[in-house]
Amino acid sequence: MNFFKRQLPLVVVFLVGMMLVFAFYIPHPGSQLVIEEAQRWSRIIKNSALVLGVLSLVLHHLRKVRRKEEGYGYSLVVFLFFIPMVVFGLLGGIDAPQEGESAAVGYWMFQNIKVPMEATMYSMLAFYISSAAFRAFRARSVDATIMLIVALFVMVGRVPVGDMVSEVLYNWGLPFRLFSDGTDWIMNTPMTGARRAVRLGIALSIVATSVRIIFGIERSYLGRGD
Amino acid sequence: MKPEKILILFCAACILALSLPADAQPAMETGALQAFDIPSDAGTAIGLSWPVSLDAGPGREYVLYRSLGQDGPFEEIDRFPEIRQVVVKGEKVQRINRVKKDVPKYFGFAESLVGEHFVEIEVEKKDGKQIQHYYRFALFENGQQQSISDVVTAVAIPNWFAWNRLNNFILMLVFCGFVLFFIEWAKRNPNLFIRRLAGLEALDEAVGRATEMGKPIMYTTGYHDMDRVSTLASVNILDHVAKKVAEYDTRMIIPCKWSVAMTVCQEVVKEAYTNAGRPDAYNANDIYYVAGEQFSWTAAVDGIIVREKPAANFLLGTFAAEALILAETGASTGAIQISGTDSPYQIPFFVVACDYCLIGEELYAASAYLSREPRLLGSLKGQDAGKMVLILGLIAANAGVLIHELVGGGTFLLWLKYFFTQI
Repeated sequence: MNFFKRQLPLVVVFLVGMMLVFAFYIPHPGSQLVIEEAQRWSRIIKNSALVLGVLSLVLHHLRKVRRKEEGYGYSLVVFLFFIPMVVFGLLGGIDAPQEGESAAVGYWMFQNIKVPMEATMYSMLAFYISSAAFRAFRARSVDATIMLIVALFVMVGRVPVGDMVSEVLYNWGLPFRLFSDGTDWIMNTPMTGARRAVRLGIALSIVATSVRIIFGIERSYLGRGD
Repeated sequence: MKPEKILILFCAACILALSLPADAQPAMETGALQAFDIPSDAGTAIGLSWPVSLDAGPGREYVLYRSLGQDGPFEEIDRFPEIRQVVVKGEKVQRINRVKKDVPKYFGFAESLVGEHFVEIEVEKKDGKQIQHYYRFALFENGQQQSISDVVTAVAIPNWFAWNRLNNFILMLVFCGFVLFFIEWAKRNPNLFIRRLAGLEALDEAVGRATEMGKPIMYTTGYHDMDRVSTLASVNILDHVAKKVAEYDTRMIIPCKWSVAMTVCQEVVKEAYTNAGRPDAYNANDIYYVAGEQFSWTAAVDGIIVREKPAANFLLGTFAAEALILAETGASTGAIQISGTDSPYQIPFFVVACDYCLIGEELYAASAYLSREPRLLGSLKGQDAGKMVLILGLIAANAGVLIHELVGGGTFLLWLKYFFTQI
């Protein structure tokens, strides 16, 4: 049993990992077929595992409703929307209607309930950014003060007022558009450099972690029990 | 002729040659059309190239023809002006119209096609067999045909090695070599230094705080499934946290966005409880699937944070726009928050809203840091060594490009630049 829990996964990871790494350097259609097949199997496994996820979701909320645990009303809401979406989606489909056709109920529910709710969640970011900025932009130290000044400069440069002020100063004789060109320079030069440095470190870390996983040095994902 | 005169004439010729524009070409020859197989591809395309003319100007147009036989009949398949106008910073600039310049060659450096027009044509297939076509082009000026080329043809052949990725391959071997070497080296020298990572030092403190307050811990592995290395890195940290949670008998809630990640997390936590001698304390109901959509999952996690009021939140993995929503909601409940992400755009939000933040590669170093296993620490050292080699190479490449721009020089400097930049 230990072979199936420990050794076999390591062998599979090694073989598949090496195969996919070398397939990247082999453009021949036979090699690309390997990558496509691996991606197809990955999608099949993910979608098959979705059954486990849905089962977990249903059992979790069913347990809460049955035991009337605190907040079980939210679980009822989950079922209130989950069941109709599944039923109407399976019966009527969720495809966009053709010209002249009426929309299926599943499609209507997706477009008119789910999509606006997602947009609402996304829009909350505006308020969260404001509260985070209010907490973060405090001149407690030299570094924090510099960050505050630069952040204010970039914020002004990104709004029409900044363009207006830049234009006025430019017409008065300043050789460049202060906020517009300054913001562009900050975003294109120091910030891009810093972001590339972070990305370089991340990319190399991903390679090193992948080497550890492929060669079986990193085994935490299998669980303990060596 | 006296030797001195010969030397003077030779020097004058050199100066004249060096002072010519880099892309100077003889007058266009329509017979110079070449067809070739695109190198380093899957045998799906061929290329046509011909020299750019010094006489290039507006009103001139190339028309491309194709036929099934060498003698025709030819059908027009494309036409494009020789010159196109490009707007650069408010000023119109005339550019020679190179339809596609970057033909894959060594390291993606298309030196052989500088100063040439190039067109890539996808080959047609019927019943799995390639249909061979014949091509020619004609030059029109103000609607009048000026010249027509010879007929050319080529066959697309699938290649077994992507030569345009040779530099990537070499760098990959060098970097992996460093990592594997230092892993072996670390077995003989186990006491390796690794700098302090505040976020990881605070893991035990966060678990202890939750235990003292009698509140649960909330852990999330991020936006992506187990096919991402960042999620694997998060699961590595989960292994350590789960061990502590099992020892302290603290409740840990893990809302998952993906089913596969959910099952892996369940296994890891279960093993941790079993190895801590407390298999009965493991509760699979606390590790569950919530939703597959981004903001559905975010709303569910926010709801858990607001209702369950965990004392510690662990946000470790790749995150997208939901990062700040999760972090701010957690901050509003007064939880200690330890975050870590490899998403460069979300790092600032986590730094602001969380108590501790693992930035980029620190997330991947966590397993080595927490376990202190020599092999894992050795891999970190190898990673740093490989990074140093890459940085030195980039500096050398940039210096080479600067020298090449200032004083000219051989192709070696350009090859150095493309070796490190055309990855």
